[in-house]
Amino acid sequence: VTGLLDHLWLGFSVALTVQNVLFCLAGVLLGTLIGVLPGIGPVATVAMLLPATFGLPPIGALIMLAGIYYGAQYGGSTAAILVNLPGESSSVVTCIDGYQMARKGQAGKALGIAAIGSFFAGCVSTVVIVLLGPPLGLLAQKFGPAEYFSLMVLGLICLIAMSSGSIVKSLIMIFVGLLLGLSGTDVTSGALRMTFGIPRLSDGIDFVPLALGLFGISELLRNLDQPELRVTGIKRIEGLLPTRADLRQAFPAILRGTGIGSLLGALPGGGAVLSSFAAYMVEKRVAKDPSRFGQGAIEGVAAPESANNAGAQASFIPMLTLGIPPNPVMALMIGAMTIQGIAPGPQIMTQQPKLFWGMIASMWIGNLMLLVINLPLVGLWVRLLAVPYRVLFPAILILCCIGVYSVNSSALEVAFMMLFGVVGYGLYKLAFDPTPLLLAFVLSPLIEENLRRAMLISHGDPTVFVSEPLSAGLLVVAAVVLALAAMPSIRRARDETFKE
Amino acid sequence: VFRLRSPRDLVAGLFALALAAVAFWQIGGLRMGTLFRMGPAYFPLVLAAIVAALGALLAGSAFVLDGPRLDRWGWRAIAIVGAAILFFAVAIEDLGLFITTAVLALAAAFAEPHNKFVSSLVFALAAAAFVVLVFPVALRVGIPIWPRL
Repeated sequence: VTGLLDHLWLGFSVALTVQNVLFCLAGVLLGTLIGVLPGIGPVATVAMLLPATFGLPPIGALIMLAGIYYGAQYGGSTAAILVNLPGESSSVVTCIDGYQMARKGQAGKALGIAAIGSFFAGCVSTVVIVLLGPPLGLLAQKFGPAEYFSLMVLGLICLIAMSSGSIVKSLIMIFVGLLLGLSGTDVTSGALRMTFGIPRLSDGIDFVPLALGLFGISELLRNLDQPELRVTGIKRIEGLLPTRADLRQAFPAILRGTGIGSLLGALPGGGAVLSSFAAYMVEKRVAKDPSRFGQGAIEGVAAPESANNAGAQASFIPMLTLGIPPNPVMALMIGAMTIQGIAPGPQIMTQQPKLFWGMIASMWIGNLMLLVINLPLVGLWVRLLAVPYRVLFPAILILCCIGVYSVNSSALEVAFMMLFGVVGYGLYKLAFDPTPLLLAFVLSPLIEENLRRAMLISHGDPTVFVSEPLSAGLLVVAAVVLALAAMPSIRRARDETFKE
Repeated sequence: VFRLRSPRDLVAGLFALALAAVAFWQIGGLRMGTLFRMGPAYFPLVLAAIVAALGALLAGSAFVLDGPRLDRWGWRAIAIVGAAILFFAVAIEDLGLFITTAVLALAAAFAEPHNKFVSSLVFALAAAAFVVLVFPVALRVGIPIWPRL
C-alpha cells in the first residue's frame, strides 16, 4: 500500500507542476472546444490536435492529449444532450434521455448529472488503474516473444468481436493494417519493403497522415454527403446543479455505470461505446418503471455518461501497461509516444515511472477540471454548437493540412493524408470499419519482431506458441472469442445491440 | 446459376484482392528466408496471402449471400476537397502559409453548394490570418508565412 501511495505521490508531483497543469487545462479546453462542434468525434479531435503537442516535452504532450480525449468526450455529451446530435458513438445513448430532459427544460440538470457522473467515474477508474496497472505491467514483463505475440493476436481478435459488421471485413482490415505497418526499412535485414520507390517511405508510412486521413478527412467527406444539419432552438440553460432528490435517484445508476465502464473499457474494441450501451441496457432492466426511459429519465443520462468516462479511462490500462491500444484514440496515444521517442510497452512503468504515474495523476486532475471549469463554461460551448458545418469544414481542413505538414515539414505527407482520406471514405462506403486497420498498423512492427524472435529462439518450431502454457492460454482465449463472435445467435444479438 | 447478390461485397472483395496484388508486387524481389530465420519478405507475404484469400472469399460470397447495392459516392466533394489538399501540398513551400491557407479554405468551401463566394472569401482570409498568428507566430512552428521570392 505504501508503494501505491509513493507512486501516487510521484504522479501528483509530476502532474501538479504549473506547466503540466496548464497542459492539462489546455487539453481539456481544446478537446471540448473541438469535440462539441457538430460532426467531429473524439478520434478526429485527438488526431487533429496531435501535431500541436509534438513540440512539448513527452509528459506534457501525453497529459495534454489525455485531456483532449476527455474534453472531446465531454463535448460530445454536451452536443448529445442539448441538440440530439451525438458527436461520437459513445454518446449516442445519452441522446435518448438527455435530449428528452433538455426538451422538458431540464438541460442544465442533465448536463450537471452527466458531469458529476463522469467525475465520479473518473475518480474510481483512476483508482482502478493505480491498482491494476502495476500487477499487469509486472506480468507483461515476464512475457517472452511468444507470449507477447499471442497477446497481440488476442487483442486484435477481441477487436473483431467488439466491432460491428462482417467478421471477414474486420479481418481484412486487420491484415491490411499489418501490411501497411511493415512498409519501410526492415529492421533486421535493412531491406526496403513496400516503399514504391519513394525515398520518404523508407521510414515507413507515417502515422499522422494515416490517422488524420482515415478519421479526419474521410469523416469530413462523409459529412459533406449528408444534407446539412441545422441546429436551432437552443434555450438558455439554467440550474446546472441537480437537487438532492435527483442525486439520490441517479447515484445507483452512476455506481453501476462506473462498474460496467471500468470492466468493459479495458477490453480491446470500442471500450467507451460498448460501456455506455451496456450501462443503459442495465438501467432499463433494473428500473422499477422501465417506461420512463426514453422520456427523460435521469438515470438514462447518469449511467451511460459515467460508463463512457470510466471506459475511456480504463482503456488506458492495456495501452500503458501492455503497449496494446484498445481503441483508436489509444492507438493515437501510442503513435504520439513513438514520435516522442518513447517505446510503448510494459517497460514504461519501470523505465519511465514519472511519465506513467504523472499521466495517471493528470487523469484525475483533468476530470476535476471538466467538472469545475468546463461545466460553468457551458454557455460558450452551446454557442459553438450553432456553427453551421459549411463554415466549419474548411477550418477543419486547414487544421488537418497544417497539422500533417508541421510534423516533418513534408508536403508529400499532406498528399498521403488526402489519399488515405479518400480511401477511408471508400472503406466506409464498402462497409469496412477502419478502426482495426489503425490498431493493426500500430501493432504490426511489434508483432513481426516478436514472431521473428520467438521463431529464432525455438529454431523455427511454430508449435512454441501452443507448447508454452501462457501463450497457449492466450491463444485459446482468442480462439474462443473468435468462435463466439462467429456464432450466429451471438452475432444477431451483437448487431441488435449496435442498432439500438 | 451465378447471380450477383451483393454488389457492395463484390467490390469490397475485389478491393482487398487489388491491395494484396499491390503488396505481392512490392515484396516481389525480397528474400523469403525460413521460418527459423525470416527474411524481409516472409511476414508480409503471409499477410498478403491472407488478404488475398479473404478478399476472394468476400467476392465469392457476393454471389451467394444477399447484400446491399453500392452507395452513391459524393464525387463533387471528393474532387474539390482532394484538389484543395493537393494544392496545399504543392504550394505551401513556395507560396507560404497565408496565401496557401486562404486558397485552401476558399477552394474547399465550394464542396458545399450553399456556400456563397463573398462570405467564403472573407472567412478564408480571416482563417489564414488566424493560423498565421497561431502556428508560426505563437507556437513557433517552422512554416514560411509569405511567398519565397
